[in-house]
Amino acid sequence: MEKRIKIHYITGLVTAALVLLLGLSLAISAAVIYFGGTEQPYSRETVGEYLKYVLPFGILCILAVISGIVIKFVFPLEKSKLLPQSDEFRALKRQRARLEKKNAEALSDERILKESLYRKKISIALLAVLSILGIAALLVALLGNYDAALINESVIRVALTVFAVALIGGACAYVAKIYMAASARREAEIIKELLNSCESLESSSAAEEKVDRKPLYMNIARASIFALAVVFIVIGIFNGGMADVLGKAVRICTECIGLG
Amino acid sequence: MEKNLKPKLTFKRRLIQLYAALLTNANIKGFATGSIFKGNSKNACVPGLNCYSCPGAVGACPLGSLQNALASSGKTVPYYMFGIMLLYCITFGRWICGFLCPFGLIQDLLHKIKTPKLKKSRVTRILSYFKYVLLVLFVVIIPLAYMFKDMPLPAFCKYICPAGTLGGAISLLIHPANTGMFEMLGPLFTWKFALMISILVGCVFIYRLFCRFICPLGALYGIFNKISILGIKLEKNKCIDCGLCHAKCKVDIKHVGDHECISCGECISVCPTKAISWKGSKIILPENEIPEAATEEEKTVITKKREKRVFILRLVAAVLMVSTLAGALVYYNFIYEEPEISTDIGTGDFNVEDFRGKVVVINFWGTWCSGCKKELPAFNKVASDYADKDVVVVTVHTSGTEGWEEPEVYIDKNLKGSKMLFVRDVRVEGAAYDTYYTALGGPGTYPMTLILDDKGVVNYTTVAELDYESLAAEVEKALAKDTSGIDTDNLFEGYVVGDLCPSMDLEYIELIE
Ligand code: SF4
Ligand code: SF4
Ligand code: SF4
Repeated sequence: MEKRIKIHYITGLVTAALVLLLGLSLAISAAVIYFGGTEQPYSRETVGEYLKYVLPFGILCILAVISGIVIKFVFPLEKSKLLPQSDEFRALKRQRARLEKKNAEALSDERILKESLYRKKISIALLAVLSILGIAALLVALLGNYDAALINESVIRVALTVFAVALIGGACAYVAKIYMAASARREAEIIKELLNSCESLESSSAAEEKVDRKPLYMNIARASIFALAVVFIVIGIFNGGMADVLGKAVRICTECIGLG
Repeated sequence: MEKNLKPKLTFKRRLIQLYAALLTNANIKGFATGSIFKGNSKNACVPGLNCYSCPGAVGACPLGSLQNALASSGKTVPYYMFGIMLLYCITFGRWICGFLCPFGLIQDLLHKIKTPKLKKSRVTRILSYFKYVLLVLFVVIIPLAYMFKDMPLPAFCKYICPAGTLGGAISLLIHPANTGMFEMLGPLFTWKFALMISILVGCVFIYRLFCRFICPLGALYGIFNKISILGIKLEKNKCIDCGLCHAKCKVDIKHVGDHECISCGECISVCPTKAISWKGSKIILPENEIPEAATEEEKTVITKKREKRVFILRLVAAVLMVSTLAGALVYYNFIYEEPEISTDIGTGDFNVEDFRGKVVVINFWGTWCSGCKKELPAFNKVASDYADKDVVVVTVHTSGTEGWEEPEVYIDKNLKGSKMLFVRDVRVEGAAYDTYYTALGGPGTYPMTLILDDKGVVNYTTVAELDYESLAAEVEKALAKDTSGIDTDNLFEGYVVGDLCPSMDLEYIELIE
């Protein structure tokens, strides 16, 4: 890997890890405070206490983000190089699909079929692994022993199971993604090659086939909906609907915004 | 050339996003005082997802208002909200998402953080339909279903909305004046906080995770995206189906301008045949018609003319925008003042002063507030249990019902024969909020409870929901003249109530016989 790309790649990974850690530490802090067992778990002091633990991650995160920005300007990089399954690939595939309609023969290629077949197999395998993991997690959650007195423990057990499953599932998906990206890159090369070989096909423009529909009916629809909206608003002002909006916006039901 | 265009457009979009976020949250002083804005501009909804319980917000959140309007549609047909939503949908569609929504801006900025990204795929395309499920379930069905049970439940706000957790809950909690709010935090807050963190962290890795998979407001705007007056359009006769726009786009579109397109305009510059353009742009700035036979000189003249028009248009737009923003900032932060609370209003028979010598529990509630209704039975029980111990429980209903049940009907159904006193708050002319509540330190959130001792001193205040045990414990303290818990930083604890509202005479609610 080119040195420049490596720098970007590593900064990205480190930042990602720190962002995840920060998020995780915030969510865990809230969970620990809540499951802490006291009747009134949250207070400004407790939250402050826990934020002290989170702060280092926050600072590191900010530093990583800043270094990411600095690196972006100091070692500029062409974006596509960083994208494993590049935008270009998607565009190429679409182009190929279009041309294939006209000249299927020139564009059919054994290698492409093979690549997509392998990818499909890997997707199915991944789906199977994820399903098994999901079912296993569900069983653990459903078959566990629940005791109202030990509800906190039970919730933590379920959370841990979900976390473990998500971790294993995520790792599998990441490995699969690496393969897919490599395969996509190989396929892109082949498609490019094929497209070059039948470029002459491109000359028949698609333009004549399509005609834009007249926008008149659209404008009528727009005008009618607009008029309807205005009529509704005017009725609403008089039937008290507007006052209700104001009333709810200046008097907040705390439970309704999640303070509960 | 194309390369130059891109950052220019992104930069302009970012500026407009920032501008819109500032304009709809112009009440900056709200963050300093820790209370929400209570003026009349909250009659109108802002276009983007912007919580009305955020101290900065100067307008109402369309999604929250829509849920509340549906939840109270049994009493008032929500023409107003339907009209506002239709107006935004037909005028802007998801252009709002690309340019005006503050929560969209937050997500855009988070995605700028340099990490490996998860790009769109078939899976994300399928997931993008999830927001429609949430729209139907959490915004329409649940609020409507609970309306029949007379229980206001804006389900999306309550259980999901991260904009509410961030802009509303956390912004309020940060301020020291609202320390009392920590008391009420429990399972719901823990869940919403964890969800908000997950969504925000997710946005770093997945472009606009919330907009693409969760936001019901975006879903609603998306339905109208194709026919909205502003937005992005694709001229099919020019399109050669090269797929570059689709590849460039970061959201789960099938075609440019469909229900997923947030009209960000990033794909305009990659289209080789210029088939993608802004809707309505030709009305404002018609394309140059340069006659074929024109000489070079004539061509330059025509082009120059156009450039001049572009410049003038931009200048006018910039001046208008800057002056509007400056005007809003000055108005909301320096000129606007809440109508003065006159402390001698009301023509009713209830005056708290008449209860000197007794412990008085004052509870502020509304039939539109589910938390208030939940805690009323505890107050009712205290009223009966302490009836012979010189304790009076007064419930003060908000002056308006916000399209919900009238309090007398609710009391008749649920609290018949109660020993509590039922009165109604009053409003000063021109104010959108309740005077008695405000005079006693109400920050804009409901429920709120105060306990006065026999001398009329505020012994205890809270904006949290109370259960029987905690309420009874506080009443006992007041009866025992135990003032150790008084926290003078907390609302108006320690003040004599008579100084706060000397002669406010509230009306008793006429109970149904
Ligand atoms: S919680 Fe969300 S949907 Fe509800 S009012 Fe606030 S921002 Fe709007
Ligand atoms: S989808 Fe929702 S949150 Fe996202 S920009 Fe649109 S309105 Fe805002
Ligand atoms: S289709 Fe174009 S304008 Fe629409 S979201 Fe995608 S890039 Fe933005």
